[in-house]
Amino acid sequence: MNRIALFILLGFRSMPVMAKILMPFFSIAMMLMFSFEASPKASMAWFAGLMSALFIAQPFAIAEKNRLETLHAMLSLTRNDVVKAKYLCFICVLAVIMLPPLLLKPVFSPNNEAVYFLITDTFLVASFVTALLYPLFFKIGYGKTGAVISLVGIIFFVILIASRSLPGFIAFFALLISATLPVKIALGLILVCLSYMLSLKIYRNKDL
Amino acid sequence: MNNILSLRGVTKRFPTFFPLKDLSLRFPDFTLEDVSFDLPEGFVMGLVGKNGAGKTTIIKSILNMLRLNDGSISVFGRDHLEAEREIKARIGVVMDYTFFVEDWTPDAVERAVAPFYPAWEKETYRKLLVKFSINPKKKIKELSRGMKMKLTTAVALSHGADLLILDEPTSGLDPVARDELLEILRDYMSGGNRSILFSTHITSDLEKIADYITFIDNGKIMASQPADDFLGKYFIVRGGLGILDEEQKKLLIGYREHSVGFDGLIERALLPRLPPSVVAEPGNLDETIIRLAGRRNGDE
Repeated sequence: MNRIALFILLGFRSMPVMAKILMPFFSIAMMLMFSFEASPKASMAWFAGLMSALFIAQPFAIAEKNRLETLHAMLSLTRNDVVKAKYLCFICVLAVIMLPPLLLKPVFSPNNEAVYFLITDTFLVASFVTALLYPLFFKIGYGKTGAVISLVGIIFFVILIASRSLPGFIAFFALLISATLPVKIALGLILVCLSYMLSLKIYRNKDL
Repeated sequence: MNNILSLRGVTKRFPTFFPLKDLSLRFPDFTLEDVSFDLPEGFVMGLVGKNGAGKTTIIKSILNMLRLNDGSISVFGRDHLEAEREIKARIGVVMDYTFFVEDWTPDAVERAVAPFYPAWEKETYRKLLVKFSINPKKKIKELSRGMKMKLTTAVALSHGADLLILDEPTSGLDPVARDELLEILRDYMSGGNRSILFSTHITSDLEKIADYITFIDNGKIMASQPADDFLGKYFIVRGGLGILDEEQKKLLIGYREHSVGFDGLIERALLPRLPPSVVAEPGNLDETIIRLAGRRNGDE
């Protein structure tokens, strides 16, 4: 088997049993939620996107807790393989979560076009969160990333409020949500590609 | 004689964390400086030095866990970066900590790592688990430190590795477990043209197994030569107080005076310059390293 596929499998094996059990349930829940939803709601996409991103971040948390970076360095892998596998894992997990509702749409809700919006919004949110978090995971690790993101997030919103730019920021998000499906998919892919290139550069030069 | 491992001018700088001078929180910077040595095929090299001397930095450099500032490393005659995958498939590594998921069992470890090694030997792994009395169904977090080290060793020895890299594998082990580990390494060496790079600060372990000694102190290689040559170069001398003049005392490395006399280390070539009443015996590794490291740190 290809080494990158093996690495993805290793990441899956390192996840706690509970997370492995929950993953298919999460996929089924998303499938049902999306299939019977008549009108697209951004909050659902945010929820689904964030949950997807949290699932995908699990191997980073496990790796840090168990010093798996050393194991990765022992195995016949390069650093490029590791980064590539982490991003492919993200794509795979998203596919597992989002493909069933897409494929079963004709069966459950043939006339409900809202499913497409929810799926692409979920993809966009998950891509945004992952694009932001992964380079930080590679640079400073899972534990510190939480603290940094919280701090930066608070400072960012304080600046937005202080500079009275919050309405403009919300309008920007509204614009994103109202974008066409191909635009959202393209934007998500661009974010992930940029994040991948940044992570590659960071991890190549990192002292483990 | 083929070199299985060669380091040439390897330099790794860890910059000062706080670059401001005279700041009380300033971390000392550390540099692995111009490190060069060769490990010939079929031999065991002991990498010795006190804690913080740079042993782990060398090992991490070989495993591409650190980005070098300068120099090159070749393993099995190939650049360690260009042929990283192929090289790592032929290396077994034991660190002084485990690097498996604590919730895994030894069975799960095998399922996780075996696919990465084309030459994984299931039978060897099973036999080693039995030999080490490791329950394959028991979670790693339930194993003692000694058992964890044995498990890591079992993995390192189960994929036909031609080079074993061991970083302080015996630290924290009791004498019986240390002896068992050394026995395993002897067995490994009897299996053909295999080599071991063995880093430790417990030098008594090395005296039993090492063919070559590389002594590192403060990031610099002080000596890298056959163990017999290294040990044969120095003598421990002892004698009564007042039998050495000041010039003779300066010849000794790690000169110490106590209530009944003195002791110190001296290079073999300088031995005739001491009075005949001095008792001289070949230095053991432990005492030689302690005195040499002490000299570097200006303890004399």
